[in-house]
Amino acid sequence: MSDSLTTKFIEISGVEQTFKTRKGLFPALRDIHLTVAKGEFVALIGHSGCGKSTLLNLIAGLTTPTQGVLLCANREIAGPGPERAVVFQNDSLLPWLTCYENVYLAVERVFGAGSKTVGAPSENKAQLKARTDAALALVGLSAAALKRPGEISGGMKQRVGIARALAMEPKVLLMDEPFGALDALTRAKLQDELLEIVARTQSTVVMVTHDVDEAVLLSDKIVMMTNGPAATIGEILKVNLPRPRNRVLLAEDRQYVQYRKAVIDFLYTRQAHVEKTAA
Amino acid sequence: MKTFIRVVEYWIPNGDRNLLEFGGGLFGDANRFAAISNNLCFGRGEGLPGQVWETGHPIVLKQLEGSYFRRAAAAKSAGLTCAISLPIFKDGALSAVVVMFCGDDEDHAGAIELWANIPETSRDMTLVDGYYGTTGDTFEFVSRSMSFRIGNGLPGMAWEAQTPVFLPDLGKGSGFLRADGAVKVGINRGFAFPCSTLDGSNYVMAFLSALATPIARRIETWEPDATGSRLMRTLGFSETQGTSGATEGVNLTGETANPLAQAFLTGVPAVAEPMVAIPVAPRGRVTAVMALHF
Repeated sequence: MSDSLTTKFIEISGVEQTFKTRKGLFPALRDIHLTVAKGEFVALIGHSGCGKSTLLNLIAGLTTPTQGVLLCANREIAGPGPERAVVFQNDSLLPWLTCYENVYLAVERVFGAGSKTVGAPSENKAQLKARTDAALALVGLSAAALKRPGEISGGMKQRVGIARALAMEPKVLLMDEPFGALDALTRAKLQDELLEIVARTQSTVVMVTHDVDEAVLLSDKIVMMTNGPAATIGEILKVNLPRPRNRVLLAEDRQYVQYRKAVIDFLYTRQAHVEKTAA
Repeated sequence: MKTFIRVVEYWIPNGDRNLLEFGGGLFGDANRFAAISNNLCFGRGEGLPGQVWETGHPIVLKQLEGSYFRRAAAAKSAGLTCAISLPIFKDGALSAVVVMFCGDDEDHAGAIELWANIPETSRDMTLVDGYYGTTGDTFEFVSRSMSFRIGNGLPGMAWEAQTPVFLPDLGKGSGFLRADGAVKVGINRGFAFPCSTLDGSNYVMAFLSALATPIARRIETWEPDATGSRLMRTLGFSETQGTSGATEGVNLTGETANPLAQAFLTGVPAVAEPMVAIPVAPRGRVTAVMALHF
């Protein structure tokens, strides 16, 4: 583990999230304690309804916890901010803008004249353009810059979403099943690209996934959630596979297979537990 | 049927509380090793029992030879290569140090793991060390990568319950979260109990037993009833007879020669061949007694 992976960057202490519903209070999360180091890639995995996305939304500042505290770089997370960019399962692009314009919009908001970043001088148009071009190049979409979302594939749209998120130079990249809606081949390609991008940018990433292979391939740490309601963290698996990681070579790697089995054990055993309880 | 644990012994502080003296044990056919142990005593920090006394924590010593273990030659000749030792604290003071011995021959399929949580530094319970016999490194590798939160997995369950937890079939969605790997290496039963500490740390010893070599021939847990006047068997499992039925319990009031009651009341293990009764005393209070039959 590198030195950067030993420093706390995101700190989640005693977080609880309860939602008001028509049937009364619904406890989604309880007793969540988690630290994410700078530069660490963390996957949140668990069955549907275990609160993975709720936890990600809390880190994103999209919701506030009923109890507990979330810190990012020693500052309390009180709402959404450009230092924490989110990539959702659906691309969330504005369909009337080109890929370039979609990314430029986010860049302008963070670094342009309208930026609310304290102490940072606003950048001129040429600088904003350079940032946008670089972000699109990073995800290999320079050639599609002038196309609109309706003219490109699902995988390309998701790459624009990642480019838009990375262009904001976030301290943390939050990804909610970013490749969940894609076909297997496109998903694999984007996972490989994400591995390269994260290696280059040294980003801190928290990703929600249902995909065991994706979790093991990408992560430094896999956080396994218990079943909801009132879900919490059950186990944490440290993935000490050397980087860069090659999916073809890893497919036969003994340690990779063991990590994969450990996650499957968790999910399989828990699922059996659910069925038993329900019976 | 050979058992995974071959020898159990315990050491108790002398009257001046400056030495650990031999208290008793079950030695099977390790007669020479028993004879040597009988005449020994350990100061704080001396040998394995003294180290456990000094640190106040359990210790897994995977290689007796070449370590601070003082009876290495005798242990080797008895086929004992590994030791697991744990302190028992009662009412704020050390009442005994227990040492369990295993070998590393082909018959030793199974594992013993020591897990710890230090609340000041982490919410996780992580592996301190483990002895994996002939299970190979498959199971060990996963265990070393894993950490448990309270209530999760076998170590987390014992941590939460503060009493022993027994999972009779690890392969059937029992809450043992490394089931697939465990079954693959022949491990089918899990038994874990919280260890005794006084400093707020949480230690759990987990025995993972293989079909051919159970940890012990019979494992039982005895806990006090609601009135605190009787010890009731809350768990009983034998490799040959399966789950035990109900019992009348053991009286805890008045004079008693029952080893289970003695262990519960004094915090000192008691031997009644072929059984050893070991107090379970997390946080310095005896909550249960586990009986291991050999």
